[in-house]
Amino acid sequence: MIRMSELSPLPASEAWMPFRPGIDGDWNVAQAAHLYRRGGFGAPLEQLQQAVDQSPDQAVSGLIEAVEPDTYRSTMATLAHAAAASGDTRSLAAWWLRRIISSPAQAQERLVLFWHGHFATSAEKVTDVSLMLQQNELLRTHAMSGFEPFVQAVSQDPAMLLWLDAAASRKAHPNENYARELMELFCLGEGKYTEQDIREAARCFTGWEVRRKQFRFNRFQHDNGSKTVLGVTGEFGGEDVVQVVLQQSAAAEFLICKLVRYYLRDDIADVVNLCQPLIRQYRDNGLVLKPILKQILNSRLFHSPWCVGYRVRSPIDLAAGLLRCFAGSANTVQLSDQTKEAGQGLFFPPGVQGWDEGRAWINTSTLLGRSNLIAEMLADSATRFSGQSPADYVRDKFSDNAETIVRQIQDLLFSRPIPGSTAAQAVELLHRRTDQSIREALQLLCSIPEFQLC
Amino acid sequence: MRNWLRRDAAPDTEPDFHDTQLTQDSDEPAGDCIRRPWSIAELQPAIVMASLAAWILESWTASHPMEPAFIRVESIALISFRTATQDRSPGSTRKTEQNMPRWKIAPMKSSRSRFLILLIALQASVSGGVAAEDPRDPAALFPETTALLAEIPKPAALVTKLAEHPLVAQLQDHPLVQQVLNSPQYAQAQAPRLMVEAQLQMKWHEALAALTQQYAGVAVDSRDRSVTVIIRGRDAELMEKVRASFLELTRLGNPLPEGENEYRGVSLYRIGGARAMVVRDWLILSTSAETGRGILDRLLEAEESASLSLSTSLQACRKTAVSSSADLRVLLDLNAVKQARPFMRAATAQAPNPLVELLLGGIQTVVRDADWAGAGLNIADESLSLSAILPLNPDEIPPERRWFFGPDSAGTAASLPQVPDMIATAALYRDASQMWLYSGDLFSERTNDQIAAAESVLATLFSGRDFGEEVLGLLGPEIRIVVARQNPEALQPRPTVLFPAFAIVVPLKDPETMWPELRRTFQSLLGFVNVTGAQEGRPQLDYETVSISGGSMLTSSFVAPAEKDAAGIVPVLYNFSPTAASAQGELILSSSRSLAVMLADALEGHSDPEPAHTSLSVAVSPLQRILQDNQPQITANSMLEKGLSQTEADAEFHTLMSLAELFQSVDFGISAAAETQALQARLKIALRRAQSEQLRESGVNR
Repeated sequence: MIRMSELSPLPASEAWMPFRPGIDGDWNVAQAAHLYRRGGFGAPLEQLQQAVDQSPDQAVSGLIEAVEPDTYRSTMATLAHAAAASGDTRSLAAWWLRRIISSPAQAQERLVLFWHGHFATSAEKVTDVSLMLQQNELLRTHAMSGFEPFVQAVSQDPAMLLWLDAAASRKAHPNENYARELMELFCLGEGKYTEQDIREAARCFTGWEVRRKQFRFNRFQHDNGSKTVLGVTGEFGGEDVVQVVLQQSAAAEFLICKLVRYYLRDDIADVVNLCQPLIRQYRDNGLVLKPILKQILNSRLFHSPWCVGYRVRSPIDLAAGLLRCFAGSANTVQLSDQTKEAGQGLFFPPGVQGWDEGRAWINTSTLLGRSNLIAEMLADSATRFSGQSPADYVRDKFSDNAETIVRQIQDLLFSRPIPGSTAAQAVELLHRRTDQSIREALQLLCSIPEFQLC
Repeated sequence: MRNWLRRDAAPDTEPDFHDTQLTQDSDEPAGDCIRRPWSIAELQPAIVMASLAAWILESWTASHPMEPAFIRVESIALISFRTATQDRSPGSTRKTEQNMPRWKIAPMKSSRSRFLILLIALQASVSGGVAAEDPRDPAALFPETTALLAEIPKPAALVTKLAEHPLVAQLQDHPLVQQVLNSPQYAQAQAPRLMVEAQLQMKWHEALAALTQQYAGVAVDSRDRSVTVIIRGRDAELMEKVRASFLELTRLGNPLPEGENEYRGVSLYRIGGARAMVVRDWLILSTSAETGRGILDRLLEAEESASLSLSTSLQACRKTAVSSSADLRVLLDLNAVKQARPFMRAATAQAPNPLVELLLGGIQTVVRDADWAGAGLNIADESLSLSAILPLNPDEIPPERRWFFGPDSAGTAASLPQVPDMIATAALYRDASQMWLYSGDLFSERTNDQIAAAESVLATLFSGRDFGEEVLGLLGPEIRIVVARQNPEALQPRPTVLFPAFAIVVPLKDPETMWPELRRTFQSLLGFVNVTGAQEGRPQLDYETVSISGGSMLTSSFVAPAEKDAAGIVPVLYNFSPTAASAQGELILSSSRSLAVMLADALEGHSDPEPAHTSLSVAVSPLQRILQDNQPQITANSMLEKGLSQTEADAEFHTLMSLAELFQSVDFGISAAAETQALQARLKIALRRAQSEQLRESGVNR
């Protein structure tokens, strides 16, 4: 049964039109914070104020077009190399979390995390750290580009082939795992194919192997016979079948609806109809994502009250969001362990379907993990906000007045109002201005239900 | 008038103490000054001034409410002043003008404090230097139930040595230390020190040297685990000043209750959980009132009954070279510790596991049987040495532990072959075969079950030979372990993370028979590694037998990958080229082929064994080099684990390197000497001299 709250307040024809400040709503720090929280992982106050000085369109373009400087990329490459050389997936997860927190290309990192959940591959099975790193870089390279070359690259990614047992697929015994996930989870969705399509597609991928950590086509193990997939017949190979799948009308619909649910809210009713303008545009521009993403983040629907504060923060959003907003850094080895404990371990998605997102983040076991995550992060001496201790940062960068600090934190971190009683407690703690009381105030604010939403 | 204030503190004028000096002039000959006691007439001006100040203080406090503790401090100061002036003993002396302290009082905001300083100064100036003549061993004041005694025989010399030590100077110049010294927190922490310096009119290290000039000792009593500190300063005058300074610093927040604040006419003070007293040139602190009273009794009555001086353990320990020449020495009464600490008894009863037994088994026996243990710290410009000594009676070593010390407790390790870039070395005397054969007597039932299971596997591996008798029994007890840096350029391919190479060298009793047997076993092991490696997709080991100086070698290396890894990562296993060699009658098992070859070459010119039972050594320079080899990994870890930026992580690494630069090596040795019936251990940290110092010295030499 569809609930009224799940229906878009705007018709599809208006929902994706550009947001008009003053008409559709205010363009202020709180609204800019919403953009950066959803499009990236949050932004410090200075960056939000700069965004407010621009138009929403310019701010969205700035967010999407941001690139990492060469020096930053070089540092990240060195770190990734060291993490991979250690052979420890904890180090690799710590490296990525650091990149999520510190990267200037926030929209890109947000999409890499989205694709990591979409093309879910776990280090639980792919124990070679360098292969997981290789896949992560692949997701980054193709994050905003055309979907077809992206899926072609993923189909030949050694980590993916090992994860879905495609590397052991022989013409005598085709393994159906990859063919099934290609249609069900990556491109079309359930019900858009038959079991026969999967069997035929699996034949197309035979002979796709991994040798010395690299993709290799073994022509001796490839089934060269004729196959019929989704109504099309030919002597297809793996590349061909990817093309066939992506030519289905359901492909654009499946991905755009998933993206809209990810960026707006996960309980949208009648999402296919709502997304029709975007789906059409996506098909028209050859399945290239960047313009669609820009349109989503600059839309009236995205900036409407129906969207703001209706997504549950994932554990990565929770940790990275807090640090991003305070220009923070932390012990990311420990932090990534804690996000894993709270249900989102980087490089450790729970299964082929990735993370469930939405309300699934909150349950009795993860709730405690989320609370501990914030408390331990704030208590850790390695956690610094703009190079200072959290308490020094709040004393230096925020107002002297405790009420004003709470208001500033409201705009910066919250998409829903902080309840009066919590605000009063926080004011009292901040008023004392001791290290302990400031930390307790931050911990209090970041533990309330309103902070779990973004 | 012999004493006066150069600037009077009038009651109605606020004296400016910024440049106030309290001096004592004398136109009399120095000798006269020293011997003649003070008269009340001479002291009158000071008494008048002090009374005046007290009256002002009392008047002022009537209109300015103050915390009670502060009033008490000043009252005590006044009372002390009066007592001191009235109770001067005829034998006390007065200082010459040259020796008199010249007062320069630091600017102080509180007028109350100014008055207090004034009163303390007055008190100090009139009390004079009281040099007590007490030739007794200060340790005789501690009770005979003392379980641990740490003492500094020449504290003043030690303070001076520390203050002038090259390491301290180098540390002070170190940027990291400079950063700490320039921090506001450090400046804040210096306030009490500056205050004490101002009051005592000397730098803190001079004050510390004077305060502990004759003796400093701390003891723990086995009865109640109370801690007692005894300090004997330069003279009574100084100790009185210290007492006064301390009163000012602590303000006696928790005074002792009536009836407990005095014993035999001596005032007692509370410092935290301890009681303190100053008697002539002695300062005594104890956490136990009973122990404190006992010490005072012995001090006042020259009584030695129930004193530590009667302890045979103390006397025995002090006779040893470790103790007699030490800058800081520690005596431990092991009987008292064993009685007081059940876990200590348990720890000395049974070996926990074979590895610990192999390393420390014999020491465990000696500790179990010894009545005492001694330790001494020696500080020299080039090194810091910590030595420990335990009485050892070879006849009392039980048969199951004789493998540790060898026949007649005279087992010594062989000298180490020297190879380049040695990071760590160990030379041990351990008759592992005997230990294995006595395992039934040494270990728990569970451990023996595990050993039996291991023995079965090892017998299979060694073609049915008994591991204890026919394998370990054919190896000599002189075990040497070498850890050395590998030359990264010589490793093909160069692993991304560089590990040091390590090797074990042990004599073969019958090389002709044993080496072929061991070589075959090693070959089987390499084959096993290849089979498991193939199952997991790891590179294979390629092996060959080659001749080397004085023997032959079975060496292996991992086959280099045909294609480079996409991420450019070379796995850590390329650090290893497992090798077994027999050279000069010694078996070499090494993680690296090049280390095995170097060791075989070094064994050729091998010198005679050194007379040490155990020696361990770490060289800092090669350790630094291997850290530098792995700098990208180390800085990456810092960045991820501490959230540092690349610049900060690099700076942290360079700080670590520059701190390591201060040290040259760390050596640890154990010697069992049957003739002196002692087991001696020594830890020596050799310091690297500063480059500037070396240059200066070479300039002088030229």
